[in-house]
Amino acid sequence: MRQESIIKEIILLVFVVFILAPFIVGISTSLKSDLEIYKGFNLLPRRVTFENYYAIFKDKVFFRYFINSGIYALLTNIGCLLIASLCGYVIGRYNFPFKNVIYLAFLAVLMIPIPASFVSLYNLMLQLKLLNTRIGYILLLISGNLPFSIFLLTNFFKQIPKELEEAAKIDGCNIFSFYYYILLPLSKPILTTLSTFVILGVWNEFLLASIVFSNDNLMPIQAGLMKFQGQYITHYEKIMAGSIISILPIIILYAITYKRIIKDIMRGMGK
Amino acid sequence: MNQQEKNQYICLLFVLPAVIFFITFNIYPVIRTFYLSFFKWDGVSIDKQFVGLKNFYFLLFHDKVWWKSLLNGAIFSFFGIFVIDAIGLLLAIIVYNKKYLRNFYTVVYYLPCVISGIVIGLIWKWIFHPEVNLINRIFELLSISSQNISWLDNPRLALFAIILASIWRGIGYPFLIFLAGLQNIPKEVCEAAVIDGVNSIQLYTLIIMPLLRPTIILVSILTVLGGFQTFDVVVAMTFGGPGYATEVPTLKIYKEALQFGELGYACAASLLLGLFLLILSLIQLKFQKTYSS
Repeated sequence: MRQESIIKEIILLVFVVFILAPFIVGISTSLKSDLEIYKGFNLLPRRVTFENYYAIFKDKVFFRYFINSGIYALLTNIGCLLIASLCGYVIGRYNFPFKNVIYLAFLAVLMIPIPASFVSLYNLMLQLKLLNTRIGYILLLISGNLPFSIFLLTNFFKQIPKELEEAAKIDGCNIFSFYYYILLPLSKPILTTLSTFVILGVWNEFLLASIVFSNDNLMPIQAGLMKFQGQYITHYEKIMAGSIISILPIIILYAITYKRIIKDIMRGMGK
Repeated sequence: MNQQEKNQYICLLFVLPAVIFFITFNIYPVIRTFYLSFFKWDGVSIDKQFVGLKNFYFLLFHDKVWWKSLLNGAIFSFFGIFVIDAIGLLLAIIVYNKKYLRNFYTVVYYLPCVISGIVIGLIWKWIFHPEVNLINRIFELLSISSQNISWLDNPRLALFAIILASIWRGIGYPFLIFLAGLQNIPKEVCEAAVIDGVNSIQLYTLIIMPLLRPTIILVSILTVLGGFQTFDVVVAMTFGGPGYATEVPTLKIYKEALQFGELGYACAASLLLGLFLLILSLIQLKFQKTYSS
């Protein structure tokens, strides 16, 4: 019995090491000089240097990728939550013509994978003259996040008791003021959850970015990283430093919200 | 107009933005993909040449790279189910029985799932770089082989390098879902079985596994869906190379459309891949419905 539990501990630890090792390799490489990285691999740098990070901070283009991703994440989040909450609110709580058709159509879209439509999305962006524009990319991101958000919010709004709404009506709330003054504050937790997933998704998004942008100035971080690694193809110490910086916001977000993320994934949310 | 009617208009007004998005960016592109798949078109010129089913014919019977990319998708799915999901299940069972540090393991195992495929690809590309080649060094230590193999330049090994990166990336998700599945099994069932004299191996094979079956099927389908859509990691590690050794369906479509200017052909490939994934999703939905009711 004891032997068994020791084996179990070892298995768990082996996988902890397996998961953490690549991060450590990346951090270690990013702290080395370009001379050292090709002299065989040592886990600890012989001489710790921050020159790679310094070089990236001075690299105005890289900084711009970072800011761009921040802008895209923020605007996508606002747009998506606004549109999805309005839509989820009335679908979840009212009856109106075409309601079921609309809702079923949203659910159906959840099952259309991106590889099936990105070519014509590219073509659509071309037709609308939205290639290489911020707005074009944000529109694609919002539409990509909408079906799931609507699905989630509709189910949430359905559960809010009818009595609350009737009480609010007596106090003079109309359909809009109930949404704004009562429903939105009530749904803060679920909106936070949704925001976290949207922001994670936007920050890590690459495929759509690579079809919309060929212009450096507007690229988000993932497309930027690919461009960056093309420029520094042999300078892995810089590529690693760039990668580490690019995941910092995600690591911070994960550190703050991991309890909720993990709970929600376990409840069957997320993709 | 009475209040009721007015409310209905307001409702329609509230869903309008979502519907507009939906028609422009979801419905229209799918219809257009279907339409364009019958043409030979580069995406820019005014003339489209109608070619009937030729794109599909060529795709299915003459395009070796397309089949190679599908084969790679299948290989990813296979390893996904029998390695990634299996490891996830194993870890979930061990962690489920632990009293301490559960949160710690969960947070660590799920960590790669929040990192972008591009960063994962770049880090693993470096790990497999001939100058560093950690894998070879580990092989040396374990005295499996002492050759300095350049993994990503070798057509056979490059795919395995990507698979290893996918394993690293992919354990967390099935782990969490299985852990949730285990937590949903009522404690009384296990306790009753133990009282009836079932040993711990029997407990897993005879009682927990059958109860976990819906979860296993669900995770497997999601794994196959993910396996055929692998993209970012491959782009960062090999971009499909060397040659077409690590080509994946999405990347193949991407290259046809944006590099070779074969938009119609890319649409045909999109359509086939999309249809395949859609059928898988429908099967998944059916399973979920059967088991949740």
